[in-house]
Amino acid sequence: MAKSFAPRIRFWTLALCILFGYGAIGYRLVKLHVVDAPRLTKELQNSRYRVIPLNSRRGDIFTYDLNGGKELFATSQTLLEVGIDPTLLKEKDLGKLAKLSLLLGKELWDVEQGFGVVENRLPESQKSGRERWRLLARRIDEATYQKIVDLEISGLYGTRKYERVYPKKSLASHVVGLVRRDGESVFGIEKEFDFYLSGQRGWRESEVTAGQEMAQFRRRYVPARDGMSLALSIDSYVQHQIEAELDLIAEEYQPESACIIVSDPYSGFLLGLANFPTFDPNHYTKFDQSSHKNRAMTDPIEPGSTFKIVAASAALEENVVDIHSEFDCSLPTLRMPNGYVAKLPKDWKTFGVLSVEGIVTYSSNRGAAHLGTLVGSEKFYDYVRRFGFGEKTGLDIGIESRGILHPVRNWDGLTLSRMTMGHAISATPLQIHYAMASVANGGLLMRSQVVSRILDTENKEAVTYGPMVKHRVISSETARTLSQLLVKTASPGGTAHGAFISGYRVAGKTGTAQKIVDGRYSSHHHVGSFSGFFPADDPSVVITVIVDGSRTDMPVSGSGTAVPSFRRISKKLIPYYAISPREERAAFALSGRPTPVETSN
Amino acid sequence: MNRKSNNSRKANRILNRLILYSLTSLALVGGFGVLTVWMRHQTSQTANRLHAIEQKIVEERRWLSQLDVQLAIAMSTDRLMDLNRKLNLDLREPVYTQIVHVTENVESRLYEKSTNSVFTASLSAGN
Repeated sequence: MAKSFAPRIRFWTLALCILFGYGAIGYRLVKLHVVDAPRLTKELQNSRYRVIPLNSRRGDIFTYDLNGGKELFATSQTLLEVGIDPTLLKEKDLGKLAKLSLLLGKELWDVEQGFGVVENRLPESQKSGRERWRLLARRIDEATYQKIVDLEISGLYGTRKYERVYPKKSLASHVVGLVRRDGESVFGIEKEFDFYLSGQRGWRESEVTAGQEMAQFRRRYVPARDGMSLALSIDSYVQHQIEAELDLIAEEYQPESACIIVSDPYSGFLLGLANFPTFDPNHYTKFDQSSHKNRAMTDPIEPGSTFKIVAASAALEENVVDIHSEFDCSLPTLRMPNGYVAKLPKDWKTFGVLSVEGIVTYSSNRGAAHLGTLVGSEKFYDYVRRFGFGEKTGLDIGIESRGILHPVRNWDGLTLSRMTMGHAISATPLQIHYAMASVANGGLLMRSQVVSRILDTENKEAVTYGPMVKHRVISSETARTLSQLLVKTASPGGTAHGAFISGYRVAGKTGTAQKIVDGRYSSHHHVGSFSGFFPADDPSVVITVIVDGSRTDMPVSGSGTAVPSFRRISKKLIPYYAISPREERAAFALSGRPTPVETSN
Repeated sequence: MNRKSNNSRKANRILNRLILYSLTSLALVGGFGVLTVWMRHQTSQTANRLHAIEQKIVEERRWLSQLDVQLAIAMSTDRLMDLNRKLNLDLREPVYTQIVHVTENVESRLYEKSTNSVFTASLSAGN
């Protein structure tokens, strides 16, 4: 067998063939893997290697309702940008363009123009056209896009994109803030808590062919981390009520601006904050930029008589007066602590001798000046600071003004007498609100807060915020005494009698400040305000209403404009929070008057 | 002659071994190649399946968030008030005067109720 099979020539032929074959393979392998390897690898990488970005989903902003259910204020949703490749449109698809235009909510000619269709005919330059992508529509939702896909029009593409959606439209828009279409958070909680909300983008290094990822060639995978969600202390019912109230005010007075703030006095958490004018963040470009402004934080105003709580509490706390101390409020001048004899402005009504109780109840400017004079400039300034004026409230929802409070060294002879009545100082509505809240809660200035919890992607609490006391402003005794004076103010006979609600002890202070127009106090332009709380003994809510100016014949004032709003809001909140009447708690103990009875609803 | 045939036998043996080794190595390399291709195919298929599952999860999440938004819009106060108007339901918010506030001690009130014969008469009749 060996003899017939292996003549020498065949042996060497076969050996050479095998050797040559292997040699050729070896040569090719060396050429590919050693000589050409760098070039080929580079080419391959260039053509197939991709770093695929993985978008993280921005966290939600929501609030809990009274039953513990979530109410979304802001969320992220995939919306589609529908684009077209005009060169791929086919004759048979021309008839479908009408349906497409209906689904996109556009005119037919608009869609036809996008495809370059003229008179129901494909464009002449279709094959030679270089433009392979044109935007047809933005912000198309998934359901609509699915219907578009079902039309099976050639050359139609959808690109998914996470976009911010605000299901409650303009509700709490100044608090929630805004994320622009380019993904930039502009203001509000969206901006201030962007670190928590935005999450982290991830990426995947892989190879792609014909537009499809070749999953087996994945090299590195860094998963995206979705953003955390924020729970707000805002109560959507309260927010809705105050926005509805602002609509009423806007209709009646057409003010330049107005705002309403509601908060829990003990925790400092906001329950509602609304401004007029407002905007819908879903369509933010359609609204004037000035409507984006959170005026409750950015626009300082002269607080007017609401500021008299500072003078009264300073005098009571320093024990320079008691509630029965009397002052002659008919005198037109007053000697200041520095010896300067200041001319006092007139009161809204001519008063004679008034007690401290009367000064607060009837809102006497001259009486407040007397109280301030007894306290002295330095100490009064100290109390103003303690009430939180001249510094930020710390509410993390955007730019906040400190207001204007000049140091004592810059005061002139009139400043003290004017400041005690709420002039010569500017404060934001939020500062005024929290000053009143400090009286309501027994003398503590709370840090203003609106975010109560931060939840991770599995809905577990990552951060919980609790009440934060800034400092004590006045003693609880002084706060209680002042509350009782403010109850009288909001009772029949007081300047805020319109705030009275039968069965409830409402405490509060009105303010009507003249606006400065062309460098002078105008007698036609006013800021009307009311800040109050109820039930006075154990307050559930603090409400501040501020209306700046009027473009109608209806004059703006604290008692005529802000007080009725306060009352309407309060009456809505009573059943909602099940606030019980507290008449039995020695109401009106100071004056000994019988409990006033409401005459009408 | 003998030496010649011995040499030839030796060469044949070497050649036979060479062929055997070549065939074996070819079979091995071929088998290895087929195995590698099969493994890569399996890897690719598994990767594609994983990719499809990932896509499905993303899709499901997308629909869920879509649903959340639709629910939130449907339950917004404005929408509910619109429905109230359109459907003529005439639902109204409660007025504060409609609410009866129980300010007395609830426990003693319940105790009084439980001992009051007006409320317990039916109970005793039933017994």
